[in-house]
Amino acid sequence: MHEWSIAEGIIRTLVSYAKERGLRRLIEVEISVGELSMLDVGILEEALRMLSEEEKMLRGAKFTIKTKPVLFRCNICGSKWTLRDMKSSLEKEAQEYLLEDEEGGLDLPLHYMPDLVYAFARCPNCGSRDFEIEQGRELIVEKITSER
Amino acid sequence: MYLDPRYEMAKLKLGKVKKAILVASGKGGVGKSLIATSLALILKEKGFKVGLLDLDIHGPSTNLILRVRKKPTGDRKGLKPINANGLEYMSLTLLVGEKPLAFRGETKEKLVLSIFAETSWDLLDFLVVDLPPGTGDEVVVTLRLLREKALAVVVTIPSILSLNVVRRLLRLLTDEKILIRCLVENMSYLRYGNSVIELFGRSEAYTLAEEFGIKDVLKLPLNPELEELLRRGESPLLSQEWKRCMSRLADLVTS
Ligand SMILES: Nc1ncnc2c1ncn2[C@@H]1O[C@H](COP(=O)(O)OP(=O)(O)OP(=O)(O)O)[C@@H](O)[C@H]1O
Ligand SMILES: [Mg+2]
Ligand SMILES: [Zn+2]
Repeated sequence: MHEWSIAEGIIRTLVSYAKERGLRRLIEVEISVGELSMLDVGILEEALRMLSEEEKMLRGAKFTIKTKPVLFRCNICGSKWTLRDMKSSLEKEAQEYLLEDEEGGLDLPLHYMPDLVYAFARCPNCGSRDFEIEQGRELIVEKITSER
Repeated sequence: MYLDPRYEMAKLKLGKVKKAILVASGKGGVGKSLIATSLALILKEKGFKVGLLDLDIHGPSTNLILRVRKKPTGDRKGLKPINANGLEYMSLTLLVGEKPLAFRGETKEKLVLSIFAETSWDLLDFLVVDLPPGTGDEVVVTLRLLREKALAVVVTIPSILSLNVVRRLLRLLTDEKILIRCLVENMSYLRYGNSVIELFGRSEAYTLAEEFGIKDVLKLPLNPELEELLRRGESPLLSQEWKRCMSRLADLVTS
């Protein structure tokens, strides 16, 4: 459920962005959610909608959320893979490390800190832990349309 | 455009933290973790609300001193630190156990940012941060996020090898305008019967403190009792000599 905390961070980021530039209103905000962060986009959207109503400069703003698939690349053997290719081994590696939330749900630690994937993942081809996350790592605000 | 909301999340999460005490050195193995943990424990004994954050991502050890292995739980605000002997406590070992974390700087920078963005500290008088050796991402990101409420306790030992490395960190802290509250010279001497042995010879701590305008130098003994206590899983503060020293350090950082 920490989608709410992220939404709050996004709202504050947008407000300070607008203030720094003297913008009156933000009309559209594009957010890219890396698949690795395992966020529930539905909850995030709802949280953004509710929280943005409380900020004058964000009232009625349109939030567009795109999910970006993860792509890994091994630094040793060069092979590339996706989260799906690795999902079962990841879940197996991390099964002792699931974190409970307030409703008793269980989340992988990556849900909070995507970069912790390095603790649980290895290259499916050669087994190395030395790999890159080429895309789809984290959540970022990619584009803002505003009105002066 | 690339706007990362984690900076604002971190600000929010640190909102109820009044002061951060960064225990740093530049040099490895000089006693940062033992001192950070002991300092947090004694501050708690003195009645303050205290958090302890282990930021030594590759070689955490405060968890071994505190003997904790509970998992934090999540809620709307992020991750709640666990209670460890009355301290609010967070370390990546609570999330990944003994698994190795191997990655480059960019990943590390983001991970440290995530730790600050996701850990929801309660109202704290002091957040003690145990930093790894060096002046890498963990240190840089911490200074970026905590600069307004941080003071530093810098740990060194009397060896010439330590002195030079520690000087680099002191320079960084000075340039970043972080108050260096105290220079701690650990393993400074050893009590043996009635005599005091200076294992590393003459100390340069005062010269170093003067060079950087640091008001206080605190010399700590090498105390074999500490290892015995750690092995038994007991608090380092059970050593009376160490407790007196830590109490003195606590008085310095709270004054
Ligand atoms: N004053 C002391 N007397 C006896 N043992 C000590 C003292 N200070 C530290 N030690 C011991 O020395 C070792 C190194 O201490 P510690 O792990 O706290 O150093 P560190 O600076 O945090 O190391 P690292 O750079 O790896 O994080 C530990 O075994 C610790 O218990
Ligand atoms: Mg340490
Ligand atoms: Zn490979």
